Parts: sequence; C-alpha cells; structure tokens
Amino acid sequence: MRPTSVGLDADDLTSRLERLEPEIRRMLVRFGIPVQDAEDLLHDTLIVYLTKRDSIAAPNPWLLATLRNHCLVYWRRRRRSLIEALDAGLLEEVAGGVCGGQEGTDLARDLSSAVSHLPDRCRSILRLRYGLDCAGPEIAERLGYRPDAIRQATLRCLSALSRQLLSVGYDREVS
Amino acid sequence: MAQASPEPVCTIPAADLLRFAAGDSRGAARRRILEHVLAGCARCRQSLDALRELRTDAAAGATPAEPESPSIAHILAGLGERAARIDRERREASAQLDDFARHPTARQWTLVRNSHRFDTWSFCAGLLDFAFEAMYDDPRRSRELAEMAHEIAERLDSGPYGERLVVDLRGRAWGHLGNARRALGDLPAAAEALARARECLEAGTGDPLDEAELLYYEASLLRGERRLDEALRRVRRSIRLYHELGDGHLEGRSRLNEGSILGVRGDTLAALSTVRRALELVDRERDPHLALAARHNLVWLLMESGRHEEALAVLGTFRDEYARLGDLSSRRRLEWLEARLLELAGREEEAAAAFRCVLDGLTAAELPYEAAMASLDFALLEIRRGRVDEVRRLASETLVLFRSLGVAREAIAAWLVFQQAAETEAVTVALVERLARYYAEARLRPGLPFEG
Repeated sequence: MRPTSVGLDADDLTSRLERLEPEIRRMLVRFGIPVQDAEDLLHDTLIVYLTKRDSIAAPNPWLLATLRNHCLVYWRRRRRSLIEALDAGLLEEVAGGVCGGQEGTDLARDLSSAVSHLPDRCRSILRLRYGLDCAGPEIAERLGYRPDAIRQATLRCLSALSRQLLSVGYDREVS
Repeated sequence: MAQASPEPVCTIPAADLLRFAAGDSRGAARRRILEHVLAGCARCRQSLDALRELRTDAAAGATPAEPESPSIAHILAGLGERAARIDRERREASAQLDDFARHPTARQWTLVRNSHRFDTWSFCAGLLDFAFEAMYDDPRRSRELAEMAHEIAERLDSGPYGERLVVDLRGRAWGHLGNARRALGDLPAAAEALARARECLEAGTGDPLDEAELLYYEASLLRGERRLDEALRRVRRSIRLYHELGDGHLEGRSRLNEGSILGVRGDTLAALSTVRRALELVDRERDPHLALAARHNLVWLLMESGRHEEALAVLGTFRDEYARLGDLSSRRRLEWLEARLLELAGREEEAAAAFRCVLDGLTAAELPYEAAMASLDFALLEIRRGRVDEVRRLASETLVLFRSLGVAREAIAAWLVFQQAAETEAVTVALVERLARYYAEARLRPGLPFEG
C-alpha cells in the first residue's frame, strides 16, 4: 500500500520548500495568517509530513493542501474562541441594549455595528437569547424553529456576528 | 461534595470592561473592575482573557520590526532534532514489525497488551499497513491487526508527537477497523467505528490523505448498506481529494469503488467506463492485489453486460496473475468468474465442474453466503440442463453448510424455500434470481428477511 520511496533527507526537504516557497507565502498572505502563527502552522505541517511521509506519494501537493487545511483550522479555532468570548459576556450587554453603542470604545462600537449588520432573524435569536434571557425551547417556539435546531441556529448567528466583527477590523489580522 | 460559592452578580457594563481591557480605564472605575474580577466573576475574566489574547496578537502583527513572512530557513533549522528522532523511530519500528510478524497471533496479542516497547507512532502505523494488506485475503486477520493497532493508538503517549498526530493515528485505526468489520458483514459495528474515525479526523491535523481514506471507507460501507447515492457522493469526494493530492494510484482505488457502486446500482456501462479509468491509474507495483481486483471487476462487468467473449479474451491476458499472487480469495474469485463465463460460452460440462470446484472452495473457507450465491448460479445451469437431482443435492448440501456455520435463521428460512422448490421440482429462474439478490444483500445485513 505504501507509495514507492519518497526520498527525504534534510536537503530534499529544503529544496522542496524552496521550490514551494512562493506558493506557501501566497497562501499565508491570502489567509491573512500573522507571521508568528504562520511559522507555527508551517512547522506543524512539516512535522506531520516527516511523520507520515511513507504514505505520501506526491509531497508537494500534499504539503500545500495540508497547510491550507491548517490555515482553515486556525481561523476556525480563532473564530470559535471569539464566539465563546462573545457568548460569555459581551454580547449580552450589547444585544440587551444595556450599554450598546457606548462612545469611546472601538470594540463596543464594532459589536453594535456588527449586530446591526446581521439578518433580522439572526438579530431576533440573539436578542431573545442574550437580551431577554430566553431558553432554547422558548426561542424555538417564538421564532418557529424546531427545538433541536435552535442550538445550531444560535451558533450560526454567533459565528456570523464574529465574522462581521472580524471583517470590520475589530482585530485586523483576524479578517 | 462541597457546595460551590455563588457567582458574584455581574454589574460591569461591557463598555467599561472594554475600556479596562484596552488600558483606558482610570481611577475609581479601574479599581472597581479589578475588585470585581478579583472577587471571582468568571464571565468578566473569560472576556478579558479573550480580549487580551486578541489585542496581543494584533500588537504583534503591527510591530514594524517583524518580518513580513515566515522564515523557512528558521523553521527548517528547528526541525532537525525532531526529524532525526522520527527517522530513528521509523527504523526501529521496521525491525520490530519484522520480528512481530513472525509470532503466532496469540503471542502477538500478548506482546501488544503487555509490552510497551511497541508503543510508537511508527509501529502502530506499520500494523495498520499490515491490516490493509491482509484485507484482500483474510478480513478476519485484517480486523485483528486493526484491533491491535487500535489498542496501541488508544494508549499512545501524545507527548513526543503532539496530540493531533496521535488523534490522526487513532482515527486511522478506527477507519481500518470499520473497513474490516464491513468486509466481515458487521455493518452496524462498522458504522460505529467509522463514526469514531470521523470524530478523530475532525480533531486531528487536517491531513487530507486521512480525509480521503475515510471517505473511501465510508463509501464502501454505504455501498454495503445500499445507500448508493450517498456512497457515490462520498467516493467522488475521495476521488477529487486524491486527484488534488497527486496520488493517482489511490484515485484509481476510489474510482474502482465508484465502479462497484455503479455496478450495484445496475448502471453497468458507467461502471465499465469507470473501472477502465481506474485501471489506467492503479499502480501494479504499489498494490498488485488492487490491480488484479480492478481487472477482475472489468471482466465481471463485461460478462454482466453480455460481452462474454470479450470478457474471456481479457481474462486470458492476466489469468496467471491469480496464481502468482497466491491468495485463496483471488483464486476463488477467478474460479467463480470462469465458471460463469464457461456457462455463457455454452461449455456446460466444464462450467459444471468449475462450479463444483468453486463450491468446494467456498465451503472450505466457511463463506456460507458466497456458497449460497454460487450454488444458485450452479442451480441455474443444472435447471437448464434438466438435472433436477443435482439441484436437489445442491439445496441439501448448502443447507447443511448453513446449519453447521450458524447462519442467521432468516437466511436458512430463505434457503428452505429453495430446498422445498427443489424437492417438488418447482425451481424457477425467477426464484433463483430473487434468492441470489437476497443473499447478496443478506451477506452484508444478517437478519434480513426474504420477501419471497
């Protein structure tokens, strides 16, 4: 089952990466990965490559595809941590209208702006959940969702909110 | 259990918290938030942690002295020691695998369970390669090897490798285990294993080869479950991935699977064209069994589409391969194929002898469903030749085999229908065809009732 031997010594890997370098750089720029994190992602990709190289028939496309996956996972995890932060506290204040749109704080303004850019249905979910403290089944009933679908719908809304935040430069490198 | 102290009521407005996080709070406002957070407001603390992380990253990204792109030379310099360690481990594992393979199975289990010297990534990956190779000839052995690999993968210390690489390995072990269970007809257990493999894949390194392999296994399972549209979607995603990754051989393997799915769906022409394309891609050196399976499937599909002369001619070009590869299951597949082709070519005596040989082989291998299907093929020939005694004998022999192997009672009940018809000389081609379809399904879904 293994592919025929993939020669791999340090020189081989170096020359391979030199050939791929322009594509690697373009990909990291396209995904907007900060430099320090880009080094980590590339390092992780190469460790996986070294460990699994016996099963990799064509190293160059594999390296690029795996690095691309690492970039995607990187943003997915960053978005998730932002969603968790939103879910934990900040959104409740903004969506509940206690202090949304406060002056003097970029993030608070961005949150308000991001919420206002969401589709109506999404805003309704977030307001019910965070503003009016409704539980999932109640939100589902009031908005006509299936009870088992409301959690996913809420997560999608939070995810949309985090994308909005990122896209308006809340954290420029997270765009 | 101790009662948790109640959370302090959070009275901090978001804007104040944000100002605090940005370092813009002053005087009393700053002290108030500090006291509040120190009093244990988990919500504010989490928010502050998340904000701090994002701000730190933003600041790092904005530092003018930072290079604009990663230094590949710097990364490579940091890999040296790790690469050397991986190479060392691989060499050791190779020697260990050679030694391990010499032991009988019971001893292998003892070694796996009691000796932690095999607890390495490379040894476990090697066992999975063995498991894959064993699939062609002995799915039970394949399952056993996958179980051993799974046992090692589950307890493997992630320290030296990183958690996600170990999770990848666990996912592969579950994948192989699922595939072996599918081949042995235990579809529910296969589905459970493949679901676990999917969970691991999502928590792993994101290796696209692992994704493509799992899609391939999932497609095979869905084919077994006769969920053919889903099977086609999975296998085509697998084909696309392998194509993007430049692995033509594995792309060919997935195309072969696609051909099988199309064949089960009854789309013989599309299946033929897919298998031909697969044949162009499969690397005979890398996996001679797969290359043989591809050609075998091509001949079978030619036969099914009524082109038996062409099928015989193509078979003649690689017939020696079956003997050369030397595994019993390949030879049994050849004998069955030849028996069918001889019958179609009108060489009935030779066909009958070939069917007898196939049945003996399947009985010796204790493969009751396959034996039932071969018996039915044989019965069709004998009905055409008017040999009712032979049909009766076939019916009795297979029933004995079913009972001795503890086959599901639904399968026995279906066979009794056939036996009764044989006794009363009422076997029809239509009944035989219905039963053949039934046993092809029941092989993968034990307990399936025969609808008659």
